[in-house]
Amino acid sequence: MTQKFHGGERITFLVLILFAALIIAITLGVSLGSASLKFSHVWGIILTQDSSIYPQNEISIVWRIRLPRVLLGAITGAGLAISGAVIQTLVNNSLADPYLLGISSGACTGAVFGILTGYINVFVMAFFGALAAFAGVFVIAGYKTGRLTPIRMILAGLAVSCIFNALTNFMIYMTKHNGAENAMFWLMGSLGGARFGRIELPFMIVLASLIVFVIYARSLDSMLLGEEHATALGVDVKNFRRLMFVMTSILTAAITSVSGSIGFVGLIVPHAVRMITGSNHRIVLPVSALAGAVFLILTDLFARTVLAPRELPLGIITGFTGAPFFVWLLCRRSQK
Amino acid sequence: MKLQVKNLSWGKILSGVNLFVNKGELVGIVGPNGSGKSSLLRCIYRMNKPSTGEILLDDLDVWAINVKDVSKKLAVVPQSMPSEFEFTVREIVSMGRYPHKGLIESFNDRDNELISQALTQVGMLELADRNFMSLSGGEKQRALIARAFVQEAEILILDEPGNHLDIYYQLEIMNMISNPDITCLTVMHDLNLASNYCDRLYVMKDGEIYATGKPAEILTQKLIREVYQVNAAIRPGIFFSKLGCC
Repeated sequence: MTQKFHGGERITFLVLILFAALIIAITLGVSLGSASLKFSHVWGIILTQDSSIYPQNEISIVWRIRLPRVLLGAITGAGLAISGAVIQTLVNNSLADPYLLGISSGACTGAVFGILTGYINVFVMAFFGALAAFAGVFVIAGYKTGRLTPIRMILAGLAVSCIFNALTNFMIYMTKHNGAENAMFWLMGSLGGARFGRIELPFMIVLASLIVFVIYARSLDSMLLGEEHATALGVDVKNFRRLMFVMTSILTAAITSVSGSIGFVGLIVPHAVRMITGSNHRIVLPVSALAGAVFLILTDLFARTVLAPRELPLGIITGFTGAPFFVWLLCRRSQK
Repeated sequence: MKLQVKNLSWGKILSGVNLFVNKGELVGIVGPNGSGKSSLLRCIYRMNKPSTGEILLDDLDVWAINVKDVSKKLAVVPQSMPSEFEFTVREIVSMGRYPHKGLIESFNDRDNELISQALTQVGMLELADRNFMSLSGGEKQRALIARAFVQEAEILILDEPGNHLDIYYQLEIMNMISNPDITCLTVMHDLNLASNYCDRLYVMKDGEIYATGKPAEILTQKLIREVYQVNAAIRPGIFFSKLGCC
């Protein structure tokens, strides 16, 4: 690597491209499906809902099914990407993301528990699940005693996600009805549950977290250099980490309790973004959010059209694309 | 600004350490591997919480004020080399301004001026837009020192600044920090450099201060044998001098 250029024009250009891609992805996502709509109708229906121009059934497809689903895709993708970026910084480990560390699995278990017991708020339970998973990873990886090496963290994450996935499965199978299908939804992720009324809370939480993370971007930059450097630069590492863990747990819980646990988006997107923009969090976080949104809308579009009328769980596709990427990262590390 | 360490102990590593640095002094800490030099520094910049004792900046206990305020008074170049990110040299150096900035306050002309100045001072201006990870060990060290300068702290704390540097830059850095405007506490391995540049030395052994005083007075053959188990010949005078200065 010789010259490295993180110039302003390049980033502006990237953001413009991503915005254009987002518009295109939304258009495609709303238009394509079992009954395809004309591209020209898509934005007309979204913006006007005018039943004198557009057929009523198209309006209801857009507003009841496709648009909420596409928006949830954008929200979920953005949320996964920024939580991945922040977690990688916090644990100083480029192999981390909410899925690989078992945080999503913890949130799932919480969410399923909330649904089954009925009276407890699903999102709140998912939050406690995510926090429990975080704690589990740190305890197992030997936070207090040993060094928190990347590989130990990944193994600890594996253990934690196995435990929580088993719990989730157990709870689902004990309820008997539709066990397999439900388990699939939670463990592999799906945007099938999207409708207006369910996507607003995750939207607000993703937006609020993005704002909070960007406000703390400089502390995150310092954290990326390691604890000693962060302390030297005035970051109260312990408290800051705690705050960020709580924030990422809220974020993961909000996404997971509507979309299930979707792997690898939080790993791939921030990495790809950093290769172009550098590591500055003020830039990485918003750009990752945009890129994650585009990525997941398109992934979902692929998942529901490639074998139509059957719909693939999202996790299958993110797994196919993400796992090789993970292997590549692993190989690149061991070369160093 | 005066730094004072009073009766500091940390676990089983440090016990009863007393130390002070007066304004404008360059004070060195020397001692064999594992004698507790870095642990002592880490206590001072709030990485290790001392079991007993105090660390005072003038009259303020560093553990009683918040980390951000400490970082405005103490600039630190830790020994650990950061890795795994994509920051340019300029971005790394500009982080030295973070303690002085509000959460979302942007950099002004003066900040940028300080950053360019520090980059020039360590001879890194031309490499400013390079990826930090692509630098050699010595260049990384110089970038981190520039970051410490940019921090405009009253006391500079360095953990083996000469590490990774060739003789030219070792002397360059020593010349910079021996400037009477800079108050500096540094861990050093090179006894020659330490005795040439430091106003006072603390010699550590097994987590305690074994001796302290002016280099010429304490770095005797006897002391070096007792502390390092090495027979040394002591000759007065400068060992290296940089072309065009000294």
